[in-house]
Amino acid sequence: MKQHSVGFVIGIVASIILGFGIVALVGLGLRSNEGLGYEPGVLHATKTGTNSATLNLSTFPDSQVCHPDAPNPQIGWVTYCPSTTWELPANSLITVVIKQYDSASGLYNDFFQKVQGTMGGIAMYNNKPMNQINGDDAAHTFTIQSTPDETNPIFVSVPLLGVADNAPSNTNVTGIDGNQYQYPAPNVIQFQFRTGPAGHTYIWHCYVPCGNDKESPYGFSGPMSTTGYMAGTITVTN
Amino acid sequence: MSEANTEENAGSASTAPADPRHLRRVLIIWAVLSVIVIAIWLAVAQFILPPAASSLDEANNFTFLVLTVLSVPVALFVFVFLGYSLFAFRVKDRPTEDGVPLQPRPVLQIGWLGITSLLCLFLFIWGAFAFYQETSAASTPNILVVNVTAQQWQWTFNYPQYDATSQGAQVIELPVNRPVVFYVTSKDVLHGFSIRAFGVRVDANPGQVTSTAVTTPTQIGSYTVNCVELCGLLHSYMWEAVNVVSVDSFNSWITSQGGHV
Amino acid sequence: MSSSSTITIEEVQRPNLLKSLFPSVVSGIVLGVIAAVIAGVLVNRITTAYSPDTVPNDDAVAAAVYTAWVIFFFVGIGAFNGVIKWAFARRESTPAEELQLAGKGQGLWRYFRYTTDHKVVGMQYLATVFVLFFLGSMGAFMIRLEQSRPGAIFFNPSTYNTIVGMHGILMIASTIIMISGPFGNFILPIMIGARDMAFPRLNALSYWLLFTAIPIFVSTLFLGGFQTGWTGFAPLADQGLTTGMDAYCFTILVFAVSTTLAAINILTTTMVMRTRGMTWGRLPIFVWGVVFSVILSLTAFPSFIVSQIMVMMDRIFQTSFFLAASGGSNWLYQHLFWFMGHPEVYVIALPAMAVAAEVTAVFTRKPLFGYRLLVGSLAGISVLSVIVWGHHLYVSGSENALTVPFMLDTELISIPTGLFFLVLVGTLWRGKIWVTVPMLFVCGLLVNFVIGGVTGIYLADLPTDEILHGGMFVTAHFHFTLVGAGVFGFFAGLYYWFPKMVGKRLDPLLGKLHFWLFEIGFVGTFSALFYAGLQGEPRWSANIAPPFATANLIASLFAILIAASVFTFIYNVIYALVRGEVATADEWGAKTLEWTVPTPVPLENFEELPVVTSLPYNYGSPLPEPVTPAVDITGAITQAPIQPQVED
Repeated sequence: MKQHSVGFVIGIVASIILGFGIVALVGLGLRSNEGLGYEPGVLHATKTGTNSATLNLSTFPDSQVCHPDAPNPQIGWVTYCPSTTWELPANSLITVVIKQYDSASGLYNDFFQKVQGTMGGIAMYNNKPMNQINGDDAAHTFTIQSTPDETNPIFVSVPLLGVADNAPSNTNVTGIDGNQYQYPAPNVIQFQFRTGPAGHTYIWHCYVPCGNDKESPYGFSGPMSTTGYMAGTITVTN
Repeated sequence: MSEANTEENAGSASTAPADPRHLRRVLIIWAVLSVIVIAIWLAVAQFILPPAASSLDEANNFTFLVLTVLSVPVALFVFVFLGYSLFAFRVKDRPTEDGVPLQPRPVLQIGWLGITSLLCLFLFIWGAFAFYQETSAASTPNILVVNVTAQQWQWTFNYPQYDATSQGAQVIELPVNRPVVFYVTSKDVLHGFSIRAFGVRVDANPGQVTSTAVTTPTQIGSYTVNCVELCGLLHSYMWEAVNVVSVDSFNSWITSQGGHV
Repeated sequence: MSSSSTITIEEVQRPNLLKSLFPSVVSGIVLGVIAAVIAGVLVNRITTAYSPDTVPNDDAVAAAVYTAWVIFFFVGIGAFNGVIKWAFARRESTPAEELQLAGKGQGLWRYFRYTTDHKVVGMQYLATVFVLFFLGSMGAFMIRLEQSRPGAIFFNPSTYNTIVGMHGILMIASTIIMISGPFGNFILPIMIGARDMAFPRLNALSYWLLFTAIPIFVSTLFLGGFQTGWTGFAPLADQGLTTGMDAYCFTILVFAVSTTLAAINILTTTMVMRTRGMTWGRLPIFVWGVVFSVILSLTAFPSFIVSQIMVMMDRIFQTSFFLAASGGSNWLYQHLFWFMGHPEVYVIALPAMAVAAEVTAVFTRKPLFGYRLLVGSLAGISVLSVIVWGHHLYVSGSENALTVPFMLDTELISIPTGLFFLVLVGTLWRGKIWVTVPMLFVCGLLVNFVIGGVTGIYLADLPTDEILHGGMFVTAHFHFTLVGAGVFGFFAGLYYWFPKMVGKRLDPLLGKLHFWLFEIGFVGTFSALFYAGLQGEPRWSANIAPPFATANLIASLFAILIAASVFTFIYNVIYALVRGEVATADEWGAKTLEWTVPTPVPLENFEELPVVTSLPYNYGSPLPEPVTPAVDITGAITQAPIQPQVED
């Protein structure tokens, strides 16, 4: 066998190390590419007691309020604000308050017209308790589901009532860029559910086909298939 | 592939005397190893194959077992001949002489084709028979019908015979020892409805209703529905728990989901 | 631009920089980018003006950008110069012009221009295959990284889906051209005793089309990626609102056209340009393998092109080929796709099998054990592979009545595949086996391909397919066949032909290290995934469920070895290029024609075209001529015939 110099062997080791370095760089590059997968900053639920917290959210018909720097196709997308990545305290009663500014698109699976998984099986729609709404009046849903084989499953699904199509845009909302944007008066939906132990993740997303067009399959395109808009993750922490 | 089935020429006889002991040796090694590996496989199969939770899954697992038993000698044929050749016929550096120019005799070619065709035919008949069994199971009585709607990214279930729709909690229940069939459709894109433990799998197509094979859950326990056709962002989060319970538990669950027994 | 016809062959014209740059890939890229931008802006304005919501049709903009890029890249690289110079001027090209086009006297620049010399195209393909394979490997390592623990740990599920799709198509594209590109172009014409291919300019075109497809593909990273995986199933493909999906569809269109042109070229070359004496029965097995592979690709790829055009039409013009709500069907896409998809894996496997056979004969110093048997088996595989696509659709619900017939012919493919193993095992038997690095890779191919082939049986039979379809078992099966046979065959061919193509030796120690790291890592990774698939793990899992966690962790750990093997190989190539030993013209003692020409191979390959008298596998002593018996006048035999002795 041909004799190899020390330099040769060092070369092998160096190229393997360099190679793994490139792998790391590629990984970091892909992670930081927000166009491929967008994860906005974490929103922590506001603690209101040792075992309770509140999560304040809004749903808008466009992304001007909380994604003002989104590229052109995305600024017109519906979105949850201020973020879709939430952290909730463990073993707590979570109160969710959603200000819903968007008009209705209608469900195409009636399964989601019922309120499910909340305390008492109801949600408050503008202070009126209801356990389901008419499928055609749904603008969005708030639906939490568990990751595969989850040992502490959470399933919560609340349809969000849409505002009238012809409602005047007379409510001012301040965006994170400081500008004022006009929307119709929102429907306020409030409900409660319990979290389990810490260290579990769940996913949530909207089940109203409010993507591009209601017609299948476009209903779940665009914002409906993109975290940061109508889909996100929940982590239960201490 | 006996030595008598290969032609050589006399010219190279001086370099490679006829060597039936090589062939005998390798065939013995092959036979012995096949038996050993098959025995090992039969012993460990129960730890490798997940436990069958339905009649159909049991049949499918059994097919897997049989196919492996058949595959072992086939794969070992290549491994053993390759390994033996490398061991017995290897030369250290650039060879100074050529190898023995063997050519397959017609007997070997026909024999080989015959054996492989028989194996193929057996596999095909087995599969066709299993297919026939599945389609004829569709006429067993007392089948529980479950309608499954797939959409991005949730399964929803409906029991038309009881007017019940499962609500929330990503769990459905099935009674043990009762044949069940799933009619599957999709609201948007292609999904793959699969319950590994029951051995059922069918695609959910938009605008079509497809059905799984009829299967009978035989073990009480908790299993999962998975999506096996890439359907977008949350494809790998699309799952549902399936609890197989006693008939009484099932009936009370049905009532709790708003159905009538 | 043309050199005057008085320049003799001996004179080397020093290329000046301007003549080298224009036209070259540089001018091609510049012109292509400018045209793409203009086209994009134009179509953006036009579609916005005509749209009811004053929103541009992004998919139309993407299609316009990519089309302009491809067309004007070719204008810039000088592909149309010949048309203008010769077709419109209505004269033939002069030999000097053809030699100029073939890269004569251009030094290294010829690799960056529209050069027709098949050896240049072969090297260009080799370099591009390396790049594609490297990028695809990066995708694989990202996948294994993400799948090492449950949960979405490194990547957002959307990013992960894009990575999976990119890994898939990069690897599929690179393995399709991996052997036919570099070796089919460089080696095959020399092997059949030709000076170049039948259509040299088409050859350059097919390579540069591949080149233009790469930026189109990479652009998906900046356009939101695509969520469908490499199979691009509609209606999910129709759904995506970002134009990353269009990037994918267009890449396929350009790539498939490139491969079709190359296939026509290879087929025609083999049919009409074989040298005197090289009958079909004396064709090296490598050529047979590539020929069958390209015939298959000519049959299969049109279906792929059509399916992608239909997806683009659904996206741009809102047609509904695949949308059930408007009367279309997703089954249409699946049938179109898999009609391509199944022959396509044999397009990948056949050249690799042929390389293995070629290499084995050389390193056992024996003729192939059944040359005609092997040719017949390759032919049988080719024919059968066109009629088995339905086995990808057993559980689709689309053709329950056809499940049984498709099961039959899928099982039947194992018969010719078994013949391949018989031939190779028989060639090894009692040979003088010289275990070089190419031979090691052939051994790896044999081991992997039998595992891959055998696991295919499970998927071919309906009862087991019902528990395995869409799971990681399928993934492990096709990796064992496509990587275990396809890529291992490529490396066997590369280590074998590198000394001829580049003129340097690859270091055998590094080669052995490469092989062992690759084989151990590869078998470890995918055996663990077989197990995971058997337990029920679905494919495309961004989030591994806890029951499959251990198997996936083991797979990811073994994948580290695969990664190390890739980097070792790259080091080997670079070291050989920079400091490698110079190779001899006849490196291995093989008998095919490429080893009779000097290294580096001269521009026109042969001084004099050779005449062939036998198969290039006449190892071993020749058969002595049988002597007819001498008879006397009564008919009695006076001298017994001398027969070749058959020993027992």
